[in-house]
Amino acid sequence: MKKIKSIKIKFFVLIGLIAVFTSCTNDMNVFPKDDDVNSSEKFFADPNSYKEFMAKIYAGLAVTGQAGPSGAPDIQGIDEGFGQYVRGYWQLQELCTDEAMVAWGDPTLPELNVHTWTKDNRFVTAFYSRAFYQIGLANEFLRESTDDKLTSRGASAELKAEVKVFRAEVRFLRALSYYHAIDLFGKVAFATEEDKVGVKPVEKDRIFVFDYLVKELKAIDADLKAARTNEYGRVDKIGAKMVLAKLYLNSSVYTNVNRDTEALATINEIIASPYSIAKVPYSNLFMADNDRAAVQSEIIFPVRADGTRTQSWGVTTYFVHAPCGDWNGELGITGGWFGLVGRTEFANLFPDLSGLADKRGMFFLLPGTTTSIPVVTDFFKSGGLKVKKYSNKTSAGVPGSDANHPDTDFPMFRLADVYLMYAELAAKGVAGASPTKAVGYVNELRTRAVAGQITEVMLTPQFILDERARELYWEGHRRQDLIRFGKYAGTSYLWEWKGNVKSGATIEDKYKLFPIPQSEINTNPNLTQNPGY
Amino acid sequence: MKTIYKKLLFLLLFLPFSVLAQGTLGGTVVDSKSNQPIPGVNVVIQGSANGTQTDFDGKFKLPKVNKGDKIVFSFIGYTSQTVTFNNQQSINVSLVEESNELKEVVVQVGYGSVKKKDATGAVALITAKDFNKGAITNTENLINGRVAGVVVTQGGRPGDGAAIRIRGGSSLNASNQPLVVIDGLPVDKGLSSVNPNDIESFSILKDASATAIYGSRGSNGVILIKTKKGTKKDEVQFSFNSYTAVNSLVKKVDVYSADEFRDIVKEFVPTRTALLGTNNTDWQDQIFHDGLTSDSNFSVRGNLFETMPTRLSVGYTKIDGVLKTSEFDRKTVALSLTPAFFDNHLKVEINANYSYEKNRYANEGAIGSAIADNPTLPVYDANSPFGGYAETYTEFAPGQYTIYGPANPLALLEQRHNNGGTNRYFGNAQLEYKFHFFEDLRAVVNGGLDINKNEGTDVTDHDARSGMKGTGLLGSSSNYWGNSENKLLDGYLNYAHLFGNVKVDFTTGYSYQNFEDESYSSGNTLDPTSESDINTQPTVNLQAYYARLNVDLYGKYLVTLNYRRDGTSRFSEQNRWGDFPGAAVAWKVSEEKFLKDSKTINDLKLRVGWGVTGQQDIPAKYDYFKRYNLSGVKSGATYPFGDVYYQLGKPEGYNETLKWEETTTYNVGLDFGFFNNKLSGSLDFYEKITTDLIAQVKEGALQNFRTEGPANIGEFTNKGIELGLNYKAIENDNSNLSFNFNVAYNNRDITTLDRNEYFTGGVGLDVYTQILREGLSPNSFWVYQQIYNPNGMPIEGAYADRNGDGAVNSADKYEYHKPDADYTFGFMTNYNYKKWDFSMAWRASVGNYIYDNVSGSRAFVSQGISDNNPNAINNSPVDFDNSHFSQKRAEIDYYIHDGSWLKWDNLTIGYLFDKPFGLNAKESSLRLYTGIQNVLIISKYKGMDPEIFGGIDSTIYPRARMAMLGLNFNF
Repeated sequence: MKKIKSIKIKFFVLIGLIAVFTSCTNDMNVFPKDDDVNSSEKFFADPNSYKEFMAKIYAGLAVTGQAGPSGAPDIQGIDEGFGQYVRGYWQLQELCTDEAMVAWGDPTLPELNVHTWTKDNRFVTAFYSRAFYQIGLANEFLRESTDDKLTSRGASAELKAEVKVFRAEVRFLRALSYYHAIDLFGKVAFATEEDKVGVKPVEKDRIFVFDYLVKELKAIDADLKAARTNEYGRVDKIGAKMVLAKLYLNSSVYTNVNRDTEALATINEIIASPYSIAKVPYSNLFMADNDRAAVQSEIIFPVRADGTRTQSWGVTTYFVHAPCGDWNGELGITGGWFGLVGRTEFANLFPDLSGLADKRGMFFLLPGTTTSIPVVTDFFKSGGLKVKKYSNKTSAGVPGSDANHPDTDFPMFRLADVYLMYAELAAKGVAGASPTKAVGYVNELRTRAVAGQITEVMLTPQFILDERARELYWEGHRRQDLIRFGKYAGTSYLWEWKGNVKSGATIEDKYKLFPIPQSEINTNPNLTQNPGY
Repeated sequence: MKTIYKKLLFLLLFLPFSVLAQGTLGGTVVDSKSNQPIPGVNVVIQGSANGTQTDFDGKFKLPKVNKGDKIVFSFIGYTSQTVTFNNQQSINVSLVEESNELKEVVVQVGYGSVKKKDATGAVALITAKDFNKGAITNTENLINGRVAGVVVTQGGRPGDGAAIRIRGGSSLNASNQPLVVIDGLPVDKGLSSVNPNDIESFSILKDASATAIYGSRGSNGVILIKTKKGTKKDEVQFSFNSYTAVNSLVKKVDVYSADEFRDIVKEFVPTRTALLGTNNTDWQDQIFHDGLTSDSNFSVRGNLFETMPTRLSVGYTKIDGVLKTSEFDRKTVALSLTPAFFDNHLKVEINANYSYEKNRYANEGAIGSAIADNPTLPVYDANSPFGGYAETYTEFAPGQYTIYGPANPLALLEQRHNNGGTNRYFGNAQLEYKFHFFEDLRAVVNGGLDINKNEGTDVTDHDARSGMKGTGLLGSSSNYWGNSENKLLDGYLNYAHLFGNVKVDFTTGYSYQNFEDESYSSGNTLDPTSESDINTQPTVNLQAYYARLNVDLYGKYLVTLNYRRDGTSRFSEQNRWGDFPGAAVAWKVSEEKFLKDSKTINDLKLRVGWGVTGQQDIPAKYDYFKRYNLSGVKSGATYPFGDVYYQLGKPEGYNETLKWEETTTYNVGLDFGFFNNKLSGSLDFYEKITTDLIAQVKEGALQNFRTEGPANIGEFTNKGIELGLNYKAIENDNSNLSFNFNVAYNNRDITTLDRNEYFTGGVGLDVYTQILREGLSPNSFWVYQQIYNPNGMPIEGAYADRNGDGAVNSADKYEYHKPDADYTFGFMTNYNYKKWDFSMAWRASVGNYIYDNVSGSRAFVSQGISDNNPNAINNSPVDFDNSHFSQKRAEIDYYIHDGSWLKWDNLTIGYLFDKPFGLNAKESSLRLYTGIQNVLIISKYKGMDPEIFGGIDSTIYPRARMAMLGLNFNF
């Protein structure tokens, strides 16, 4: 009897325990508790979420994570400053040209100055990661903002209309990054919102991506806002046309097919838009208050910054600090970083270094030095052209809101560039590009620069190449321009330290493309290396 | 005891009726060695229920004894004796103590305990006699070097916890720390708030047949800690222990003296000789000093109301670190109640602990600063706007400063006040009920709680250079708090029965544990753009079902089977549960007929075990589902459209397929004892295979919303041999000499990886020196091979073209040694002579290599000695003499050195006063002792300390040498 009783009791106790405990297994489904983190269902329940997500993609050009200037990085394993979008893009477009050289000795950085980089180059790797991080975010935005998803979340008609425009803008941002990627790398990893997260992307060549981008940029035109009607910082129809124009202009380089005619048509549409050359001194375009209305008229697409609210160690924080020595007080910042200088051949494009004959030349030399650079690193105090183009002071001379991080926006695309693109087509003799109009555009810019006017006979491709340097230097165009004009590789144009020789030497064709980072090839067997690396 | 007296009194009443042919036997029972009477000895007539116990004076009276009856005298810890009654009036019995090995018999095995001689797995038991002696301020140090295969790396910072590795650890990025369980409660907040004086024993489970009962948490071994309890003995025992020690710095980093520095600058950076000052400052002397440690502990043990064994202890520890401004203070209270009710059918164990830790955290950036700071500069400068400390700066506008070079290290320490306090409450309540009507069955319920509340303030002086915002002085003042809670509920049933010659022991149960964590940081309250944030971690919830069966056949053949099914909230529902079985057999060869009476071999047990354990303790608390992060309004990461700044909504990377790591272990071991345990020990061979290794790996373009994340990537094997030996050289009345020696060989190898390699060991911006690669030990050094000139100096930038392809690039890197040691040793000797005692302990590590990042990141010209900023020059480690590198050359084998070391950890000498202060109490003693901790380091490595965790020496908080004086007073 006792034994049966004990077995019965044991049984009930066990059952009781099991009943209590199995109801607890649901406790293992945990959810975010932090007020900054939301499950995706909770996040999208808030109608503001779409704009915030889009803001993240725009901000991907300006900041490097969820905390400014650093602290919650998007990209791990890379210094946050090195992984900033505009800084990374700029370094790859400028340091390998006559326009700039950097004095720092960070591992693999000097290689960019002298064309000795390898597939392990950290800065190449950093930019590749950042560009594709942007594309990945854009793809996800498009997956989460489809009409079906919005309906299932109970979105209102107004929200749906707004999101339609957001989608077009995000597609633009994705196209921008793909455009940058094919310009620098040639073939790229490729995925769109149709592909699943976690799947290794395929590789596509320049021609495929070029065609894809042309289709994309034309397709979003209808949904983008009309020129100069969108909030400042967001792209409009002209921004998309700008990238389209760039693609067409460089088509011979990207696809071996000349599309100058299409380029001209697109350029004319941009010039015909409400954008106009800002009627302010040239230097104001690069000052802390370059988001004022007077300057806005020329900026087709800015990457915005703010000393306290949009902070990073790249964009204009980099552009103001890096070329600055101990004249930081003039530029309204904390100490300079003693890094960037211009080279002799670039300096020689200007009538002189005083800036009197062309106000676009905001240069000077340290006493006892010349534009010549004696050694490859640590040369800041001993040579090179000092540049003061970007500043954290406003046009009234007032320092920006933060001495560490300038308020100065970065003009990624501006109308002056388009004028020169028109002039380039005219100088090349493209049908429909009027040399008279071209000279008019060039002279409009030169008037602002208080530089001498030109005449039609001076309108040659070489002149345009040089004028682009004078107008658009240090804005991330030089390498693309030199390649397009056939002056980058080979011996047709030598500049100091080109090819790791002080007087300049030839560089192989392979250097027209940057290598696909070895670490990326390691993670994805679909990717292959560029020739020569 | 009182109840027995009562029973005896009753019996006496009936005596007159039972005198016929019976007598009363009286006598005394004493200890054979000391001749002290032993109370509580069982005196029983063999084969009858007639028995009694000796009283306080060792005396007993046993009535109704018949001639020819065999009287058995038995007491725990002593060999039983049998005496035949031949009408003696009284007998005096002298009981002999059993040898030590067999006395300390019980080892915890998780949800139960087992006699050490019956253990089937590789388990080690460390009790008070094995603990390290001397100045022990934290618990992990009690076992450092005492067990083969258990490596404890104790940091130098006061109050720091230690990193423990059992058999090298089985994971890469998942935690490699073993599971630590205190009185049945698994804790994750470390042991720094536990007072080592409260610890009774450590049971260390090393192989999976033992740890599988802990399933998903057992892959790195399990350490079961039992705290001291009250005593059943009548008299109250007091214990007071105290010591004071002077902490001093053992060795400085070797950098140039001021004059040597002047020569270096003149030769290598001649353009900056103007920056040399006229002082001769040794910056390391400025930041280090001798500190004091004092530790006192008072405990009371007794038997309250004669039913509740109780122990109460209070402790106070204060440490002044060798780095100035580094202070640690800890007060602990521990209470333990272990009453038993209903005639031992209901045992209750309540452990309650409270500790309050106060820290002043020193700004350890001062150590790096002291190495780099220009030694020709002064320490103070009356004209300096930075609180009178000399700094390198220019004032380019009133109140606007540009600063250069390293900060003044003394200022970094003294101008920062980072104070924190932690309240910790932890403990458990356990009920063990032996069923009244079915005594083979016991039910145990254990509830545990570990609550940590910490808060602190971090203030930097207004005029500190390190508090500057932009170009002006600001300072900083922030406060923070954190709360975490760990709750446990365990319930299990245990059935034990002897079926003839077969003993069966079966346990089954369920465990539920929940972890919550929340913290708050105010940001710099002096900075209007700074934001405060509350960071709430998601809950981690672990649940499991487990069962274990122990079968003991004929006392010779032992079989253990265990199984656990574990669930964790960390992984998605598909991957949430894991099954973890284990099995072991043991053969007590010494119980076999051919060895049972052997005088040479008194103990020989062969063990074979297998088990599967898991690992789920990764930093990510839930990586498997989609979530979004919104940046803060004042975070500096917002973006303007027009004039409105928008917060950024970011999708977080996730991995839906993330699952357990699983480790399968095979273990073969031999436990032995020769010559009545004069020489005893154990030998183990093991192999552990970990699959689905979790590592933090690079995620390529367009594969996820991040570039690094946890993934299951490969397989890893861990093989080794462990030997532990105890030798009692001398054991007699006057003196005792014993040696304890252990050695372990361990080899870890990555067997498969899902891609070619992963780089680890970062020593600066994107510079990696270590690698995870198939066929190599994890985190092997992966570097270029430096080429040297005929004089032995490295040719800068010249590396071997190992693959002969004519180019020198990353394909020419190679594996150059590893940070893991091949062999680790521990050695301890204890010697007593009459009242003197002497003890010393050594540890050694052979085959571990170290990357000297102290030199690698500083000992070169450009951006090293010649600072990035042209207005500063920096000191360098003297390695620069050997290299003369003009820039940073980090990824080379030149910086990797043999870090094998032999450390003399401890030397203690003590003297015991038997009946101090005329106290006549039985167990009173006063011991005075003196000693040195961290006596000597013997190593070829020229850096500060070769005991580097992880293999990369980047400046550490130095471990102090302590010279101490202490006393142990028991009464």
